[in-house]
Amino acid sequence: MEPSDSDLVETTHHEGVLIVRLLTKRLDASVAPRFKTAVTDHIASGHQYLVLDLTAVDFMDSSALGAVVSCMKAVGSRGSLAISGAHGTVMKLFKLTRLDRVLNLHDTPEGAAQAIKPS
Amino acid sequence: MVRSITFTIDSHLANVALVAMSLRSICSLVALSPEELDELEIGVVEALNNVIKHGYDNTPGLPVTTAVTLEDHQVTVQISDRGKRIPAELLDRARTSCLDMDTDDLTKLPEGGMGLRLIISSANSLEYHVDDGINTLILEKIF
Repeated sequence: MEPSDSDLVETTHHEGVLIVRLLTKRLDASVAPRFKTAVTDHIASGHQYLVLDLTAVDFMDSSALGAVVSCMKAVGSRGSLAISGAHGTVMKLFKLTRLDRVLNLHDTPEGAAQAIKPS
Repeated sequence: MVRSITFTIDSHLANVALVAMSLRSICSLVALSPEELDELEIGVVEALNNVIKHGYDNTPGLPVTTAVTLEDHQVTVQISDRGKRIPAELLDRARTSCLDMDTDDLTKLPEGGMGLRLIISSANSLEYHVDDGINTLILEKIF
């Protein structure tokens, strides 16, 4: 059975930033397309400052990483996208691909929102 | 002592997590470090995704077999399928290119094509061969 997006992500607001909190332990190829659509829909509806909170995510594969990159491109220079809570295998993947150098990484979603909030 | 287990999943991406979680449990029997286990899990997941997405074109109902062999200082994971083989040129390119990407330009960041290089970087050695229509990818992790 395919879960709905409400089982995949939940959203809150902090300092004018949309925090997209992942609810799945594994962000992999089986859910990456739905994850990408869920986030890019928020971007298309006007949310240009976002935090992807990966605190709950224990594993990410390259398909999900591609979805994160796609979200970054969707925001582009119109806003900002940060990531919070990356750890373990997720951080390992960021480092293996060297994407840790371009991702805006923070420990907490609140800290990430504070760092990128619109002026 | 050499210990081995073989299991088969149906070719659906949601089933890949079953192998990954099993691999984690199995490898807890040997002295693989958490970081080495993270690397191996990434490689095995990418290899299984590759079989299902590209070898079988996301067609469900086809078998993907994973054999895990534990030795004192080595874990060997052998993944077998009957789908389309990995093109030799893609494998050669992945072997000779690094994962470093152009991070200066956001628009140039890749959204795909990282799987094979992640598989190669996850293990100490990688072997790939095709016999009688069966593709076999072997990852060796030495610790």
